[in-house]
Amino acid sequence: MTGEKNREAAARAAGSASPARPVRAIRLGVLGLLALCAVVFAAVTFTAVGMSDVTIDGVSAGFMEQMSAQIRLNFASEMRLYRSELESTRLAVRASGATGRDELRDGFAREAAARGFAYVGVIYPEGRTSLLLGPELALDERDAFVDGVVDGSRPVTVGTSADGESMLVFGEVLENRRLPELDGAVLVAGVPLGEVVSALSLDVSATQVYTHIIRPDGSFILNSNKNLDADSYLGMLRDNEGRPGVDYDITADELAQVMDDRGSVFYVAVVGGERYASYLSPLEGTDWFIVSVLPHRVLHDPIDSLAWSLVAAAFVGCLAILVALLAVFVRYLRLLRSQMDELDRARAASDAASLAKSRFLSNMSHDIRTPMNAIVGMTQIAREHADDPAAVSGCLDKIANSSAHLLNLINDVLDMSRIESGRMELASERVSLPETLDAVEAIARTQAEARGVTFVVERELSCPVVLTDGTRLSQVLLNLLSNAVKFTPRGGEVTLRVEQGAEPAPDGRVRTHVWVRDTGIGMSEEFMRRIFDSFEREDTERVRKTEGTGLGMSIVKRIVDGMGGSIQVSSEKGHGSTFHVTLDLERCAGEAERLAEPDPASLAGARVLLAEDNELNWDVASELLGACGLELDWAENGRECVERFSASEPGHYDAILMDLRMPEMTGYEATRAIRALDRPDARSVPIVAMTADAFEEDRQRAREAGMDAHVAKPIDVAEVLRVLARLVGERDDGRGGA
Amino acid sequence: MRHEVLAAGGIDVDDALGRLMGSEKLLARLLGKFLDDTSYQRFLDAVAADDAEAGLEAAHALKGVSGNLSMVRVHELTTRACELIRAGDWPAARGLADELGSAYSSVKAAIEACEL
Repeated sequence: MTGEKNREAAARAAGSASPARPVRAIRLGVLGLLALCAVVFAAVTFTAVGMSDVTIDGVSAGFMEQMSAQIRLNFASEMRLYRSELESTRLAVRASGATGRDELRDGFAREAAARGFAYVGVIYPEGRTSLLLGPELALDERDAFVDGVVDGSRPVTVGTSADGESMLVFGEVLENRRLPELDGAVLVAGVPLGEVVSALSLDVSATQVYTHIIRPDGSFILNSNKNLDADSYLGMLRDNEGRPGVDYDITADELAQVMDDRGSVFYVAVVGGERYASYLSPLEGTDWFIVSVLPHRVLHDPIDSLAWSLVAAAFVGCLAILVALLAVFVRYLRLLRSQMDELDRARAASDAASLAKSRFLSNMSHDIRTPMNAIVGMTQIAREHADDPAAVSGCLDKIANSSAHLLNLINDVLDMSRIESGRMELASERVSLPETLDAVEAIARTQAEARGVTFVVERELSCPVVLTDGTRLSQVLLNLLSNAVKFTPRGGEVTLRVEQGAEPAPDGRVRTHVWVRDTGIGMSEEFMRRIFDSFEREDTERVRKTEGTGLGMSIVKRIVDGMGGSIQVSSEKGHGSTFHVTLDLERCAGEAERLAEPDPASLAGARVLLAEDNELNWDVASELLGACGLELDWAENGRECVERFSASEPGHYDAILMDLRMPEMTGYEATRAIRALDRPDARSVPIVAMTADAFEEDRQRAREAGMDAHVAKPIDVAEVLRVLARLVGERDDGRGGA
Repeated sequence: MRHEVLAAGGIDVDDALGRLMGSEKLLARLLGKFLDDTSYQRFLDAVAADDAEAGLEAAHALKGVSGNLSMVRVHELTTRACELIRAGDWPAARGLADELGSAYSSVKAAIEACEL
């Protein structure tokens, strides 16, 4: 017992610990995976964001180079445009045919103004300048410009007015043979720098790019950054060097060196925390340089927002994957858990089964050993008293008893094991309930009478023929009845009631109730709960004195379960018990009903002795049964019946129909007399009582007197024929077998 | 045979014919015999002699015959008489004699009216 307990405890402990451990491990694993995902994601994101500055610088260099080249191209074509405008001004004046000095001056001014120039002048070969239109301008390197215009190497310069307005100034050499003072003079015309800037789209608002134009010495020709208050770009650079918050990756000297070499360079500056990418390159056709400055944020912001939106997308994607992963894991965990639970249940069941098995074995060994010991012991005693017939006979009686008990036990055990192993197959055969009940009743009545217990059978059958397993049904009834008889004291009563109600049952079956009621010793409430378990017997002295295996009720329960029925028990200690079995039995089709019944046609020619004192009743019976082919002989009372039967050849009569109330000798007395006759058919000839009384008491008396069955009065031919057919058929079968 | 006359006399003709396999001839013959049956007279004698044992015997016999012939009222009364006598209440059973007499008379009158 202690061992069993320990085992149970161990099973419980194992059961509770084992499923939790892998679950926890998996849960940790999932958490770890989540953390890893987060870390990898964060690392990738930050690396990507950090790398973007370097990448943007790289992108900027290429971008700026391209843009600078584009601006230079645009600048060159703009220059060409203005120069051709100036040329066409000269040609238009010449074509006008003006010859006078003043006429020519007006013509130049008018034509140039019409072509968008804001400043016009003539520089004479001796160096004097004559202003024709616009403000006086101080021209950059005036002499070098004039020389450049004359030899075609330098078509443009910058002029600054007294009030600070800057203009791009172009020159065109004049030829005039009529006015020698003009021949070889240079016509100059200027366009405000602002117009050029807007024509070239160099203003900051459009491109976000500052474009400066500087002279070779670094001074500004065009300063697009209004916040930049300096005359010289190089000077500004030089001033800024070493100042906190400003950091160029090129020095002013290095830049000046590049400008001396007329090279191009890309460099990056950080001013006040803002990054700027710059590109310097020489402007073709001039000795100037163009500097493009791109604030880092112009590229950085969209790239950054792109990067962040990529990050966000990645994050969302990551999250989605994580959620999906989590869902999968949760499902998997659940599956795992349910499987473990199932495993646990299976283990619990198998533990319970093995427990039951060991209890079975211990019970079995005890139950088998007890009668075996008796048999061995009695055999020993009988051997020692071989010369004393009385002692030997007593021993043999006890051996027979023990053997019978042992046989019962073995039968029950085998039956039970067949049921337990699932090998109980329920047949579905046509079963006549009245016949089954008759057979059960006969056996149970013998047991009941032997114990002095009154046995009452009540039946109300609306559907007597059903499809079920007749043998198993009988087994259920017999087990219940023999149990009831066994535990009912002398003078008690056992009632079998079978009733087919009109209550609806599924599939058109017929609900059949079986009650087995006894006035026996009853049982405790505690035992009622265990009664259908194997080897359970109540532990009281009365029960211990009663033979039994403790298997009967569990067999009953298994069979009823197998038939899809239910069984209930109610009991009160000292007042008896009631077992109530409910079965939904399959109805048998009409034709089948007839097949199940013995064929009354088989009675044709059967000889029946009818004991009936009333002539009219005899007339009815003889007419009706005679019409069915039976040969009837009439005995007017019991005595005559006995006489006629004794006078007949043995086997002459196939059956006797016996009225119970007759003058001279009643049916009971006549039956007893016939059964007591010394002739071969005295005990086997079927005797059927005919009674107008449906009292159980009369039926019982009839049975006690040795009658086989009874039929009701007024006579129902069909019933009489059925009963006779059954009894005569059984008797013939019995003879055939013998 | 006039069913309505027999029915009015207290005989369930359909029930009786059902039992006798539909043979009117047999029913007619049995009804004719019924007039010769002594059970009723024996019951009256028993009542007069105050003999419970004889009364039970006669009532029982009449019960059997009337049942076979579906004489509903006679069958009911004799059944009750048997039950009472068995229960030991002979005086109550004797009290049924008048009622039984009228039921018997109407059956008898109906049979005689049909000249069976």
